[in-house]
Amino acid sequence: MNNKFFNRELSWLAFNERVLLEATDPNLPLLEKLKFIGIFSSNLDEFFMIRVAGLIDQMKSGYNKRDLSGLTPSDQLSKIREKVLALIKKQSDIFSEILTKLNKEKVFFNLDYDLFPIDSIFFNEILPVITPITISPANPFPFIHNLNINIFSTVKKDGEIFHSIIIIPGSLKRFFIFQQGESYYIFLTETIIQRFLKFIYPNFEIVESFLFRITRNADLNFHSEEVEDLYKEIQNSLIKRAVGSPVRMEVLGRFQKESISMLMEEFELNEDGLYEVNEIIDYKFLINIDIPMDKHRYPGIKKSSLNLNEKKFIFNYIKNNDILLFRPYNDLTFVSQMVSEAADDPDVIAIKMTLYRANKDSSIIKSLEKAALAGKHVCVVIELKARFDEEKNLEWAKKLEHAGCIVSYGFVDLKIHAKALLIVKKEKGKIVRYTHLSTGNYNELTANLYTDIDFITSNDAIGSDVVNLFNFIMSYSDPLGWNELIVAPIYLREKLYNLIDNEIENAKKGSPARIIVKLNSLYDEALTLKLYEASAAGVQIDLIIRGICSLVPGVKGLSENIKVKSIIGRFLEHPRVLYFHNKGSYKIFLSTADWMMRNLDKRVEVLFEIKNHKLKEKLYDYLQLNLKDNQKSWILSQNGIYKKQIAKSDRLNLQEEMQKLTFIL
Amino acid sequence: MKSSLYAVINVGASAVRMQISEFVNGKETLLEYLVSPLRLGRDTFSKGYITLESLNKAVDIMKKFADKLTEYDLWKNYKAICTSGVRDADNKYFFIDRIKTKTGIELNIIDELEELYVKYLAIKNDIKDFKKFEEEGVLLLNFSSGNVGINIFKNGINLFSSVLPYGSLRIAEYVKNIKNELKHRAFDIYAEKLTNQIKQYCKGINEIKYLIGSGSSINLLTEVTYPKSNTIKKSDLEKLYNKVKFLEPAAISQELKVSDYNGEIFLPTVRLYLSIMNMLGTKEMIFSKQTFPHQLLLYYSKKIKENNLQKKIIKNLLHFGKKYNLDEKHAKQVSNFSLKLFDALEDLHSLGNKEKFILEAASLLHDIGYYIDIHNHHEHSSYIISSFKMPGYDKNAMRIISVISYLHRGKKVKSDHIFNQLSPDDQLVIKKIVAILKIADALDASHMQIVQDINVSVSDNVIKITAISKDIPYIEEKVFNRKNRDFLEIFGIPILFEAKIGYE
Repeated sequence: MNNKFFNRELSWLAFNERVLLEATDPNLPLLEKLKFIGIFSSNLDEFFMIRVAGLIDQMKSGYNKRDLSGLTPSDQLSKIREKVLALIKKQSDIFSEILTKLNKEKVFFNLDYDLFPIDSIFFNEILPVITPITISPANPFPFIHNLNINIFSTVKKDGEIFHSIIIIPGSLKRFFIFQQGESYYIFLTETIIQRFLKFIYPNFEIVESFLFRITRNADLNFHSEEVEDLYKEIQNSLIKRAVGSPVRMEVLGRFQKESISMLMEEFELNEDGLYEVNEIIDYKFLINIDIPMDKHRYPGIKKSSLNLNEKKFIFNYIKNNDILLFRPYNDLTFVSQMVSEAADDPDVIAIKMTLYRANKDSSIIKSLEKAALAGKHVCVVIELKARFDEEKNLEWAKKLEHAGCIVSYGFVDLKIHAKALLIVKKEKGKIVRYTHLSTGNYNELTANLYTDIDFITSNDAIGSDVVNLFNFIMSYSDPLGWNELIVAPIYLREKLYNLIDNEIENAKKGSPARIIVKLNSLYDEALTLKLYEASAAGVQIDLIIRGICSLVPGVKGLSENIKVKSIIGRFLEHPRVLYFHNKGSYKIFLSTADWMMRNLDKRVEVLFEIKNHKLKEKLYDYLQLNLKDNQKSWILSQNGIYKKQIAKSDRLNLQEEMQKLTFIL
Repeated sequence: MKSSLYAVINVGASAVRMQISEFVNGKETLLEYLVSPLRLGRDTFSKGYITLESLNKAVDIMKKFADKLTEYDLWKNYKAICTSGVRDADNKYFFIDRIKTKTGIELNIIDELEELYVKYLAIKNDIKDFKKFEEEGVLLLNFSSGNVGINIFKNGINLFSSVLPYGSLRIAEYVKNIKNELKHRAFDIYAEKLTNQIKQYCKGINEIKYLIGSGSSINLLTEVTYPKSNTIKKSDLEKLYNKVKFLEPAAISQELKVSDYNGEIFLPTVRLYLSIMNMLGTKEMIFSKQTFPHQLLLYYSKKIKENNLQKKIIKNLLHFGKKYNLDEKHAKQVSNFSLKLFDALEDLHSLGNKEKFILEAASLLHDIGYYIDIHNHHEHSSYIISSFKMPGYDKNAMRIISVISYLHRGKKVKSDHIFNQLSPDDQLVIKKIVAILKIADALDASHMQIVQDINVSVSDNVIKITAISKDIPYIEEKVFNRKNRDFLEIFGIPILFEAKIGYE
């Protein structure tokens, strides 16, 4: 193994482990702990569908190239398996521990069936929608959907053995909650079915019954030369995703070896794809458990927002002030309000925005429709390739088109990750542009779960660049020169080199040199090497990287001036913020781009400097809080292990500190 | 606050471009600039027509540009023009029609000289000290993918004005089948042919020292030479040229870090610049970074115009006349009398300023045909005049001037003559001007300026010309009385001649 780089997949698994371990944080409310267990599972599913599936593809096609860390695809797969097995064991242990605590708080799982009308649920709600499929020459093996939970049973009648599968339909609720006095009882649908199995197979002896779940390859592959209409292509891919080849089979329950062999043969999986789990087959439902026990929940966050009562307040305000919003501490409704006001404003001639992932019932989308119906020029760039949201995005696309919006689906080979909103107004006969740039999506729901930073301005140079950005991503024009925005895949990477080189040069001249970078992920050979070069030159570097990190910190002679930490908290840390000391007149940038090959070379991303002095200071303070956090920070050591740092005194929790902020203007 | 928006679309040989500008109290703000590559020139310069594939691509691009016109409500405030990529294509009208039906955008073909004039005017506005260069002698080189436009000025005179088919994409297409290692030889020949043409047809070329460049090629040059000011050094171009002259286009784009397209046109572009610099003996070129769409926008939104254009054209016409041994004294005398008559008879002819210019021009050039032959000189005058070109001139006016010269001798118009194809309005204008020109010409019939000045007195039933002469104007009077019948016919009033001998 090459000790200059960490492996991407293992680094990611380490991140997911940190997510899981949040559930062990003694300060975390009980019900919130469940969420982290659920998120861990949800993340892991995605990891198998995309990353593991990709590695399997590579291996099968004989692609044996080593990655940055020196591992071949098959090396990686075996290391992943080893780690995942340990993690899922840890997950069920943690869940058991929490369960014990929950029991004390009178929350129970799968108990006391006779106490509740479980039978009526089974007979009224479940039984009518399930159909056991008994495998025979006349009934071939049914198609098993990705991530669907299924029950495999072996039953016996008159000495004859039958294998039968119940596919639990996705339309069924995953769990049912009953309240009894102060107690809550949670029942999982699959266990209810298993309990009533004898009613499904009357007159049969049930020899065995276990749950299984298949994870399939779900990466969308586009062949740009063949793609004429991206919209159609995505639709086709969605069908393909359902039938992607299996990469993992999880099983839960007592089973006979022959039954498992039969399934593995059916799904063309070998031993490496088999994962036996304990207790529960898919913990994702924990994210949605909603029990009204406030003391076991996070306290609500008080969001600060502007007083928006006054009509046309927003534009007048922005006209004179640049605005920085920190989500979720500041209310994203400011942006929704901006779009809504624009839709009603007769002076607005155009609204343009990118939609990467939008939420259901998004008020922004409603405003856009309204604006288009009112005859305004509304352009929406929908990134259909937003992973796992493709289907949802197709719905928006059609809806907006019907309202008369110009909908563009971006490029076949470049994913659009830039988030921008442009409102063009004609004020007293003069064109004025209002722009909003953000590190996060225009999604009102995830805005409550992710931390992000929004920048709103009426600066014309930025406005003009955003016009060019839209012209570029809507294929109205080739990309032209930019003034304020730095746009990937054309200039962003080079700009980063320049900024780092500048610090290197300063360090070499003996001036103080410092870089602070906050990202989701760093996985890029050239940038990692560039940071090593900076470290060697004496530049002090702090990296706050939530997820994957290819850089090995603190190695003498290589990276001794680099520290890496990861903050995992209540909200998913999502902003990308860069600081460069620049001989004391520091520069601060916001960006949508992670430092990864795919982001810098295969996506449309933006990087922009915040020049407003007041806002710069805010961002500087924000980065300092990130560095000072000693409650939710994990420090990466050179052996790849993250260790949580929990200070007993002088406690500082970044996300709690940020909640103390009032509206930042 | 006075504000307006204007958009220009330019369908060029290598790309389609659009610019939208806002003017607030005369100050321009560029709102949008769009570029979509579309190599129409590749079709037109090699096949002679625009392929269906390119046409469809053009439609797609123009649909998006049409969106922009809607966005800014500019359907009444735009101009869409096409240059050589369309102009030189056999199916240009089909192309224009399809664009109109599919997108609503009305394309106009800009003729080469108008194109050159727009560029000249814009550069004149953009380059500091242009006036000085124009006086001291400057070659304006507009080098784009389809054509090379050249204007040479000295002392305010346009010594040379031509649009030649040596655009970078055009040449790159011509030499497509030549081996990469030898292509530079072909570029040498093209460049030499061009400079030879200039040397041959522009007499004062040796005195021209300044070079001003513009056109799409400038972007390429600045991309590789990183000039700090608005000049590019010949030595820099030479270095680059020699570095890559044996390389193939892909290798050039890699070596110089330019786009594939620029890699392809780099050699023909730089070779031509170098040849022109060598011809002028200059070590640098001043350039304007103004884009052509921007220039068009300024022109069509009437933000740039030339003051005293007519005066300038007259000056250039006289210079043109001298090339054909014009009897300058006679020309000036006739012009002088024409204008006097024109002013005095204003109520009678009710013609405007433009017609006055036409009369003046025709008065100067009507006898230019003597250069070819005394016999039928009116015919020779007519076609020599129609060969006159200069940036900013009015093509239609020149056509009328040419017809007037043809008619000034009083011969009958042939049935197939161009005169018959003109509109009744133009025909009437011509008849009026010819009537006045004939009188003025008669007043110097001897070409000896015997009549030195005239007084015109107008009464209800007769116009009397008093010819103040230094001798008895025998010939003038005789010719006058022969040529004044047209006048009576057109204006319905007799015009009489009276000589007054003025002795010193």
